[in-house]
Amino acid sequence: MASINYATKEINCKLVYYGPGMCGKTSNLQYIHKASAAKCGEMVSLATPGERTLYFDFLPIQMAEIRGFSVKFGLYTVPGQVLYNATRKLVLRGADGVVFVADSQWEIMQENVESLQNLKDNLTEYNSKLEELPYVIQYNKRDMSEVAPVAYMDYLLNTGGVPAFEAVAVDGRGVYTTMATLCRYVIRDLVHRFESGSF
Amino acid sequence: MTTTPITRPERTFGILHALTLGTLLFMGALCAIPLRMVLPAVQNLPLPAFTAAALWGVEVVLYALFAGLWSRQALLTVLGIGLGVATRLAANLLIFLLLRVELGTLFKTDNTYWLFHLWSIVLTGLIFLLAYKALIEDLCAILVPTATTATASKKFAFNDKAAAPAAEATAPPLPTAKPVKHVAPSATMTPIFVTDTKKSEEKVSTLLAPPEGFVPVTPLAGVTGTISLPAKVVLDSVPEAKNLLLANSTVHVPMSYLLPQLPRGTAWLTWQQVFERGLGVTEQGEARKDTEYQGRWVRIPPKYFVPQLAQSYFTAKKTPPRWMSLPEVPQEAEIRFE
Repeated sequence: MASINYATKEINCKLVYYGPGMCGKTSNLQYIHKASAAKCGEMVSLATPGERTLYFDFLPIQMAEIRGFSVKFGLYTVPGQVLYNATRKLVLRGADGVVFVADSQWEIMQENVESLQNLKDNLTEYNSKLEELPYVIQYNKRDMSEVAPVAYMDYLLNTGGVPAFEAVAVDGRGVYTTMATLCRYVIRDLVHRFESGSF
Repeated sequence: MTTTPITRPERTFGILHALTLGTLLFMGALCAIPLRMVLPAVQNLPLPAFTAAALWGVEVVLYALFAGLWSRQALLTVLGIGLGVATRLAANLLIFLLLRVELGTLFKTDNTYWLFHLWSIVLTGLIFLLAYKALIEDLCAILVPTATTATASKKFAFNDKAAAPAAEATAPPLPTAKPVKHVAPSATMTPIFVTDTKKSEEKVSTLLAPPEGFVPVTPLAGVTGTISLPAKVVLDSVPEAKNLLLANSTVHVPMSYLLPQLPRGTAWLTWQQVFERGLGVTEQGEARKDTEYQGRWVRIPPKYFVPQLAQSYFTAKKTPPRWMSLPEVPQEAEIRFE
């Protein structure tokens, strides 16, 4: 749930990067942090020596000014490993938008499906539904040798027909497009809820 | 196990312990002085004689309970009362001496220092609790020989070396169990493991099985086609079957089992489902036997069957969520990075 500070004229939104282990969630944030250092704050990351996120990554970023309010997004990643579900659930709490990062490799298809289902299950525990939350899908690691066709991944993961993007997060390909698209939908949703009085 | 009686040094230690902690009495008395100083009105509060007597009675019962609880001996219970009252009087005496109050008031029940007495009771009780536990136990050991064993049994002691052989000789023989001949297991002793080599840091061998919560599929009615897979896919799951399958051969899997599993990302079929139409015949014309693999699971990654399917299988009607149809916010164009 976004927070609005009328005194400082700030809107803070929470975006969560969700997906199976090693799919490139942290790589997304690292690229944004590296390439947009002027707009970003300090990136907080807690990872194992194997570069697996242990708790979560956090990157604050200032994006735009909407109706006189400065909009800030807090980008979070979740640990992808199955056993860290409690942490995932905790990070997911109060999210305003989700980027589901899928690994495009054939071998990871089942993990992608399971992770998406896990996302839905965790949102259900917060009395929410994925369909109610602005979210986009990123098909990451498109540069790998054995990747599934986008049509098949769409069939597996994008049942709602939401925006989906091919990406190579380590090179930055598709990273900004994914985030900017989600940010726009989050802003639209926020403004709509604010105007309709449901905020 | 036998127990050794309390030794003499332990007894003296208890008495010394009590005497040492008795200094707390003096310290407590010192602590009592400020109370009197701070609350001068205390001495003017009236206290009925029967209330004072009742308090003394409660105190005596408490001493008796302490002593009785520790020793579980009637004699020691009485001794506890005596010790408690003596300590109480000693505490009072010290306190009154320090406060320069005349000794005559010490034994009176109608004095006005009831709060002071209450403080004295608490103080004495605590000292009694701390200091005289060991003393009572030791006195108990000296005065009542039967109580010695009861107290000593709570303590750990090694068996006496000399007594040990005798104790063993008198011990009843242990019951002997009948020797059991272990039969060799009939099932194969070679566990089937699949090692996940794609993630170098997770080289953990796991028994090949469908994921938790897997629900076996029912074949799609009216679907008769097959998908050709390299036999290697089956052998990856059931490596012992290499005597039946050649790695470079092809296996034809019924589509009716694969299509319902498309949304899973990976298909899981049993050996029977994969070889629904049999394994064919041997060179001698006999049917190949595969009974030992009947219950085994075969994991079929999507890359082996999805490319063979028409794209029409992957087109489904999608209903966009509500938030996708919201009108644009004018300033949202500012959201850009480049």
